[in-house]
Amino acid sequence: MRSKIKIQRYLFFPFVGIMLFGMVCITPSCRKYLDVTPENVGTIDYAFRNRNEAENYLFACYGTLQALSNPINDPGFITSGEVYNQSYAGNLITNNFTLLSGSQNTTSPLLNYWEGTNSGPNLFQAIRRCNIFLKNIDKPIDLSASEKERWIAEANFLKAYYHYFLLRMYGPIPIMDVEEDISQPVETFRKKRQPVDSVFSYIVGLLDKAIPGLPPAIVNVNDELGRITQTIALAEKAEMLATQASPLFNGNPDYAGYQDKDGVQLFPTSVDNEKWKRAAEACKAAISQAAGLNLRLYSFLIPPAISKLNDSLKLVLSLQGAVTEKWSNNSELIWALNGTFGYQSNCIPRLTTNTDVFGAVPGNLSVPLAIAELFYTKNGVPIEEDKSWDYGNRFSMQTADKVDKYYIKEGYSTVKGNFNREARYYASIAFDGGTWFGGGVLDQESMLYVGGRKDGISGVQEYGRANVTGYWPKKLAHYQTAITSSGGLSVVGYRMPRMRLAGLYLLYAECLNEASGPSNEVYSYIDSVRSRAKLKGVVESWASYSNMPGKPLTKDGLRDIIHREKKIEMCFEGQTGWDLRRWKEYVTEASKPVQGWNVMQADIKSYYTLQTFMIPVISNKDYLWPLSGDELLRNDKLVQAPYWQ
Amino acid sequence: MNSFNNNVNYKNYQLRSNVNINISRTTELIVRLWGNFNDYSGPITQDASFSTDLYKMAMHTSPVLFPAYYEPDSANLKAQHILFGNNPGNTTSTSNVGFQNPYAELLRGYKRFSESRMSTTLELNQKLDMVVPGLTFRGFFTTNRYAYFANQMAYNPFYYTISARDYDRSANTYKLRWLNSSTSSNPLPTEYLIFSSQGSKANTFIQFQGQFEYNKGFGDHNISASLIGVRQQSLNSQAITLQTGLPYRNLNIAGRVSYNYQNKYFVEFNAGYNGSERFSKNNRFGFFPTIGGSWMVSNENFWGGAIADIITNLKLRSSFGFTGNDAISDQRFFYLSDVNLQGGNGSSFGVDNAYSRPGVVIRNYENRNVTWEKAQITNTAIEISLFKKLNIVAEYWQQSRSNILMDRYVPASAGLEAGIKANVGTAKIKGVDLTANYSHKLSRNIWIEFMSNLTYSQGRYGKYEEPVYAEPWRYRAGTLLNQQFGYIAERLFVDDKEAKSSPSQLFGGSAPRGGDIKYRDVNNDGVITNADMVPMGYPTTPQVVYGFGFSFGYKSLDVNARFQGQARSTFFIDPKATSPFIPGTGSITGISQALKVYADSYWSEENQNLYAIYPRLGTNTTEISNNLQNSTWWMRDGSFIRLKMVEIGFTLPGTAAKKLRLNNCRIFFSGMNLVNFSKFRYWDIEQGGNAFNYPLQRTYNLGINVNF
Repeated sequence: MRSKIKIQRYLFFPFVGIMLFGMVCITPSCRKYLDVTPENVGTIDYAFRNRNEAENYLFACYGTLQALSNPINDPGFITSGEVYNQSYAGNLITNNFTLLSGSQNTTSPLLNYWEGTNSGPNLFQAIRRCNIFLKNIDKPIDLSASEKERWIAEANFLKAYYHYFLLRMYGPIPIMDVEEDISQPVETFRKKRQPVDSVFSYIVGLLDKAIPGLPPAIVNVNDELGRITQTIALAEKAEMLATQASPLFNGNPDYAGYQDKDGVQLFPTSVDNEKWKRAAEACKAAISQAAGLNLRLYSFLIPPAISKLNDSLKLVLSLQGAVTEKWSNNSELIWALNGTFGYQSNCIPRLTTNTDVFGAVPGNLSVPLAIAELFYTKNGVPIEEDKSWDYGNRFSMQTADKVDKYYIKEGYSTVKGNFNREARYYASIAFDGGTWFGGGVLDQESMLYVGGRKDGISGVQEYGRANVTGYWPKKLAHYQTAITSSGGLSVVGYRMPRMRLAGLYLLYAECLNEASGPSNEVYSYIDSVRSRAKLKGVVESWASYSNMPGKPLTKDGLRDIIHREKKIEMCFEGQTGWDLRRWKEYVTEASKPVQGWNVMQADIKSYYTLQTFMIPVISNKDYLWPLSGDELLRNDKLVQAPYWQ
Repeated sequence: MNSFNNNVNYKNYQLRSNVNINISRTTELIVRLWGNFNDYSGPITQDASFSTDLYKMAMHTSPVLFPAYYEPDSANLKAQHILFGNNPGNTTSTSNVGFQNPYAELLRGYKRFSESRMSTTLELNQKLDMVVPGLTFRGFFTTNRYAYFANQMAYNPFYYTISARDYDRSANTYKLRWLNSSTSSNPLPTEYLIFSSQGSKANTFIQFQGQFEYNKGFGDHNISASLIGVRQQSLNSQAITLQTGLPYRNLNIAGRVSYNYQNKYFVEFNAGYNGSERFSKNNRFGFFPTIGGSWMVSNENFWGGAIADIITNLKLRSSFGFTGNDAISDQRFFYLSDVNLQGGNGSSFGVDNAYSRPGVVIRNYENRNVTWEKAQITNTAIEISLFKKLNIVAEYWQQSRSNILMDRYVPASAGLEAGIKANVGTAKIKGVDLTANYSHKLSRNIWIEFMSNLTYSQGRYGKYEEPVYAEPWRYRAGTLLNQQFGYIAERLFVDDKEAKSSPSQLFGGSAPRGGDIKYRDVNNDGVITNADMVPMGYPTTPQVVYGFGFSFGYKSLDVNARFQGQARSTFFIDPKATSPFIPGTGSITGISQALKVYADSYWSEENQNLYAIYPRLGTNTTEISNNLQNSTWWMRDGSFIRLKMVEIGFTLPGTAAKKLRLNNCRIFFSGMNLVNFSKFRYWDIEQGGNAFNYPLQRTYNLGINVNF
């Protein structure tokens, strides 16, 4: 009985509640029942409440930049024709390499940076984040004026760089200068492509605005290395202006009829040589800024772990170190993105018998023969021009002698083409019989070497893991990256340079030659890059060894030399793909057949028979990226890329 | 070698208790308690599917790549563990175990989970005749609690392989190579069981409901009315963001007034005033009234004589009204932007990338304009009974939906991190529902019953958010709801040359080759793009769904059968899921097996059948991306009739049962999913487009039902 009463009393209140509720539910107080969201739900306003949050947003602006560091999503690397991914097994899982076999399309474009699909980071989102940042950066209450100035400058740099990246890929693009309010009608988001020169002026203008606010160099390297500096901005400005002056964008007759829907010309119709002058001046400014900070071409310092090092090998390490040396020790590096190069195991051959066949070292990224043949002879001239180098017999056999032993294993027979090449060849490319300083063995007398033939230590293995051409991009593996005793790979990481001094020197030489023809200043900048590789100056080298001795003396001849010098010096660094495009050499250079040796053979004769693996399918329309059909529908003001309609 | 038992053991307990307390003459209190408790112990599965994923895994394991386990070789004679087979595969990771071995997955351990579901309801019924005669109040308080936890005990299997050079065919001896021997293998193999918690889940639900009811007759006039108020909330423990961590709430008020005169003429008015927490304050509440009337013709005085004997019951009814739907997208709150201030697009700086910040990501933008999706519904029906034996209900209905939430077409160059939606779409759906039941007692010993139902419906989009297309066939507006768009497949390419010279078909993978599907270039622009996709077939949800059955009894014997079926629907074989020899998706990573239907008919160099069921084979999705597109090649008729159930029962006659001191005793034999009639014969049509889904089982039950 008692319990019943208790229940009654206990239940009385809820039921009164229910009854009342039934009556008063229409009143405002009850409507509050549905206000489930508390006051302090994080919205974008909270991103700028204080310095701490705003810094986080600044890093979000940088986020996409760092996402660009993956070379297999970088058109400059993927479409350079320098590496070939299609091995029998162990390939990098990406569709991007198929760009060269003609798989680009408008239904679902590969590396679609415009929409952020198919491995392309979304650059328009990145630009919008920069705009949000710039719009709100006055809000944080505890942000000092000097820091604010620096952050604004960084955001302006990033905004310019993202536009520039799109410009290189798509040509004319819409300029996104401000954050469009989300509540506007959808129509206001439909922006036109702007003529390329307007976009170039816009991004160079942004850099000019940013440069005074940036620090000349990073002081707190432990926490800030990788943030944008004046030197980076000046060097990028030079590259942007050189791009603008280059044949792809400067009076390109192929795009003479390319207009938007209102009849506005999107590419300049006539060549303006003044653009090269501006670019040369910008290069000069960047070089003197770098010189002021004591940046200089890298040379290898022998660490205590290496007891003896021959000059030939030291040279190789200097050339490799310009790319793979840690940023803080690399006197040449102007700019690298903070992501680490993640594919050393795909670039390194198996160098020891215990190397894990299955996992650790697929070693599948293959260098086509055409790229290997790009490198000069030891006399610093092209192999097809060197009078003292037996070009015709380059595929016949030769056995390495004692004099060759630092580059080719003594007593090993390989093709003649591997002998008497410049040091950059031995620093950049590994081949059957080539030596490998490092990889765990730092004794120059018992160096590891590449055995490329089947049954050789580096040759094709069970389950098809192989390098199909027989040439590895050695430059992309740090010399200390080593095979462990259990057969795994212990990787010494590095960041792929985005801009280094040698590249800037060659860019300056190029712009200067284009602006005013050969001159001593042009020669001196090429020669300083050559002299680091222990090659003589261009004029002297060509005069003494080339069958075209006068080539460096004409503007056209020197242009060829500079382009080749840059392709050699910057090989595999994700630059050539962009350079070939702006030079309008992409179709001729990148469409060379991918050739190499017959790696399924153990016998030397059968191994050295030339195989063709792929004939690239690219044409004029591949200079610029197509837009997807969907994007054209979403924005009726856009026109499709030239030759893609 | 396993000493533990991992057979499936599933226990279910249910508890139910109702207590009615008459507090006073007019007040009744009811307490209902209900609990449902499950305990599972059995093989390890990724989901709560009773190991059906093991089936999927087996279907994605090549039977020739490695055996389930090896007999020990000379070096492993003393091994205390099972020597499971595996293959290093084609992976670039440092772990050498390339595949899932379903046998190892089955044996490696066991999983337990316990879940409990409890519900209590307090109900108060108060008669309020003393205030207004005919008025009652009913109040409910309901709460449900759910809790679940799981854990598993398993060893990590040892995997072995034999490489070709370690096998001596003549002597039939081999040397096993231990695959996950490296300390960098993940996970490291163990011989002992490792415990791991598989997480827990909990959620709660609370509902208050108050309801006044009024029923009163005044001579020929009958009035009834009710007013219901409901508020409910649910909370769950698996919330991962602040927005999903907030309580889910609803607030509804509904009223109903109905009136009839002499039980001949009926009028009813209903109205709902519903609030949804998902919308902004201005758009939060929706008012949805409905009005209906009916006429009971057979209750009229003039209804008599012969016709009344034939048509024993006749009713005409009709209604018109509105409903609303707030479950229109996965987004929690439309009026609030959803920003993750702690992650996404982060970056790191410093010599060793020592200084990182996580970045910010916008998951949704604020949108105050989103509101209820509305539907205007009209309904007309006739209910008729013939000879008191055949009952037919025929109903015609029409729904006009508006405010359908759709994605706006914003260019990617705007750089928005999330889409914008708006209530812009409309659709019209029409349908007919038919039900007919017949029951007849032929004699004292024989009775028979038929039952059937059929629904036919068809819906079309009116307005649809889409751009201006150059090709009229691309518009969704005007097409059927759930209709698929795809390419028109013509046949397979004869050879690489033809593939090259035909309009280019690139879908982000390799270029097509001989034996790949050739699509029609509908707009004749020389390229196969989205613009060549056309609406195809019927909708994927059937337009006609029906069922029929009969029961028949003779003395103690009874026979029951039920059929169900659907028609006017189209379904698509999922080529991504069923293609042979390509890696699976999700947690099943193995290489899919070859279905017999594909193995019997596929294009190959030797047999270049241009109309083979399966086109050119490939080993990954990039190679065959051309063939994975939605197209008529994979389109099939989705109609079928299934004999769902047959049951034969025998009830012991009363006298016999009494002898056994039983109240009632029935022995029955039943079969489920016995026969299926369909044009699609590759696999059971109800598995859908993926033949590797766990098949529908044919089951037979023999049972006895005894009441004491």
